Amino acid sequence: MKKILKTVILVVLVLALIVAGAWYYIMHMPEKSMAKQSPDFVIEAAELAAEYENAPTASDKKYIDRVVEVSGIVADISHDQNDQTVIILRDEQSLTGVLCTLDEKQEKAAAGIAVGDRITLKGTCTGMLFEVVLNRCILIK
Amino acid sequence: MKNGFLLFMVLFLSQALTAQNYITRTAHIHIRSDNKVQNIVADNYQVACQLNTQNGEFKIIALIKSFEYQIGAMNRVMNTRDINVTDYPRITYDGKITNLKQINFSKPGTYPFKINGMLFIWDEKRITPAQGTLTVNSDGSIEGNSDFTITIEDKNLNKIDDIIKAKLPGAINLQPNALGISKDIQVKATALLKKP
Repeated sequence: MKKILKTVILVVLVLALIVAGAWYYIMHMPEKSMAKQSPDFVIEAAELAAEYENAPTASDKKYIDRVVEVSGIVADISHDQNDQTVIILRDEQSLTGVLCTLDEKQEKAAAGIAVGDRITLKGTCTGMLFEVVLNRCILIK
Repeated sequence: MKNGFLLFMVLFLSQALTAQNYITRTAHIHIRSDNKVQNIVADNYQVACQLNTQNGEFKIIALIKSFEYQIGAMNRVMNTRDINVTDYPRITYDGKITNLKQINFSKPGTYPFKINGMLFIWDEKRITPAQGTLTVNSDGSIEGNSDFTITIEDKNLNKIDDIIKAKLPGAINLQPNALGISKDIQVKATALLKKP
């Protein structure tokens, strides 16, 4: 009888551990590393912004959820309400550009960036607001 | 659709550059839905806002794919190409402050505001009133805070059910109601607006 009870307790414990482990994994499943993802598009910031301005619907279909590597001149650096660095790549003569929110692990890399620098970032496109928006960006160079 | 969005963005950008306009590219929207199994919480820090202090017009535009979910698995599923939002990638709120005369934008202080506007989500629009506070800071910036609730209609719960069935074919009888998914989504919006 005692042996059966021990076995039942053991089985329940193992099941509870499996359920707890699965739940923890679901809750904390990490996103795919941006560094390990190959870009779907490599493009200049001005070119991407112009394409979006000329064909917003087609550009949404082409770029949303795609990894984009974009190069351009830093026009502005700020922080959002989550304290993540936000960089706007925009040419002097352009009204719009590309807004890139850096991944939270990129703070060290962001420290060396200044307005006027030419940089290359890689991130996921989520659409266009004032500028084309890239999320979870990492600095390439 | 193309012309409509272009016209909207041109108006949005050109209006933003006038003197009485305050804008931000990094407003924050926090949403929460309380459910029996697990609450759904998400944040979007890439929200564009524009406030016209002369006529009280207030516009908010957020990208659906810029929401970050607290549940890791949900974040991973929602921000993939499997969930296609390219037909309606933006949530837009187009409103007007109704008690504009009670707000002195040239005097620092905190002022309550009421707003009436139209919320556009997916292919739907609905009248959405809200209230909150506007704080005029001494540096000239304006901080806006608002809490409101969006109620999901039954027909849209059926849409969610269809998506669940499409993505999880085994879950034939999985109903949002059975999961205890609340019809109410609580929204909290904060924005620090500055002159462009």
